[in-house]
Amino acid sequence: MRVESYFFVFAVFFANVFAWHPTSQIIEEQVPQTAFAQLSDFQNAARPEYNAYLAAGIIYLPLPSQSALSTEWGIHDGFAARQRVGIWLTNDFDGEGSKGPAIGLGWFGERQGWDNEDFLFLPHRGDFSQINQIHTFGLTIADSSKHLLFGGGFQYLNAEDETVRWWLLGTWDRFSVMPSFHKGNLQFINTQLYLQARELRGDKNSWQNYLPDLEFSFFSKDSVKMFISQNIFKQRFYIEGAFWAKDFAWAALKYYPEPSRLIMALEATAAQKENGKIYYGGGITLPFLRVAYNHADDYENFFKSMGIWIVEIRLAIGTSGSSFFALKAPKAAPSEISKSPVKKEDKE
Amino acid sequence: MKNISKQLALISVLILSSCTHWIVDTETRIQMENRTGEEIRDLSIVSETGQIKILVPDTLKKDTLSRSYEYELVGKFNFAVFSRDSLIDLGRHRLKGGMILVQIEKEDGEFTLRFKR
Repeated sequence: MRVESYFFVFAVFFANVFAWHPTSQIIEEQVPQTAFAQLSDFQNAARPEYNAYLAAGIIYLPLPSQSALSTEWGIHDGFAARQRVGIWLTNDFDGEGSKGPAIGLGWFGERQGWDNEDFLFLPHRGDFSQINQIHTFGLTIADSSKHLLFGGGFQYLNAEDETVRWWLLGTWDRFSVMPSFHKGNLQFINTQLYLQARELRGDKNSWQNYLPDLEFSFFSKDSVKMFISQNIFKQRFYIEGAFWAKDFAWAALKYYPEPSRLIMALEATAAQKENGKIYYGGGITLPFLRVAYNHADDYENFFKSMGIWIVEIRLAIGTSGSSFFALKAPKAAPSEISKSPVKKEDKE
Repeated sequence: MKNISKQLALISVLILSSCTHWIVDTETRIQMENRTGEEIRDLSIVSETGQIKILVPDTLKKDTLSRSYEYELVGKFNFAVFSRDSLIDLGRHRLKGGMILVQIEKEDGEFTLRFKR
């Protein structure tokens, strides 16, 4: 037995106290959820007033027993993986200002699944490996002075079988709608009513800072998801919730020391599992790192994981003019260069 | 300079983030030893639905060793072995990976399994 193995035997024992094991069914069911989340991210990133968005994330699980796969044969040591990237660039990505409408190109990709070896580039693809890919490609055209953006593209889902979906996007100021189709069939419509005043959008600071952000996702007649985010204190402290038509999905308290949400996010969540039990968790997000335990986002987006520490090496940054901010943020990060983010109207 | 060290730290974390398989075995090489005093064959794992996957497809006379077989199996599995055409349950055991010698013994009429590295 090699010396390192003793450490791992100990660690394996320690980590095994918790019992969360992804199954191939859970990994398969994750694909449509990620497809939805990816389009929702695209919708939030590609706003008429914004110039570019860049995101990346890789979940780091050091021990093979943290995400051991459960099959009919038993429990297989290995690594659940989630690697994602998001890029949306307009021809005005440097914020210098451009003549005419801004054309944007986007690619949001994710590779997720389980493999018996951990990997950065090429998966090992062992006997029980299951690696799925979801990619969204899109083209947008925006007029920031009119707060208008239109987009469209397709989404490639490579899971048990390959499917190509296509989607449309229309955003006007605080309202945005995004339907997604598979051939002629509507998969879902995502509607956003982001009523909260956002300095990034050119809104002035007022009582409207305290209007809620609402999102309605219609999957089918009986399956509607609602999301609400309510500013409680100076666009730094938020209460958020997500509900299915009859059921509570999750609720969160989020604190951003700074309204651009770029420096840090502290989150406490409560999520409802499928068996009706509610469990609590939380996390901290830093510019390049996210550490979370039992977080509702990971339950939704990382194979219903719970009872394990999630460490994600990540990045998510958007630009508008010469200012920077995180996804869904109301204000830009303070900077010496940027004074007022959306100033294209004033220029003319 | 500070930035460079930050970037180096980030890069090293990125690289290390997928290297656990360099120090942890993800494959198991299994060899079976018959110490039961009677003929046994086909060391297997049994699924929840009762399916059988034979890991060591050898028939062993008493006090003999099988050949070594390699599988991508590390984790917890239900083991079983055949003796006189009946499947004998050996219980759930943790397969650690690497080279493993599986010793099958018989005490008081009960078959037991023991791993020896």
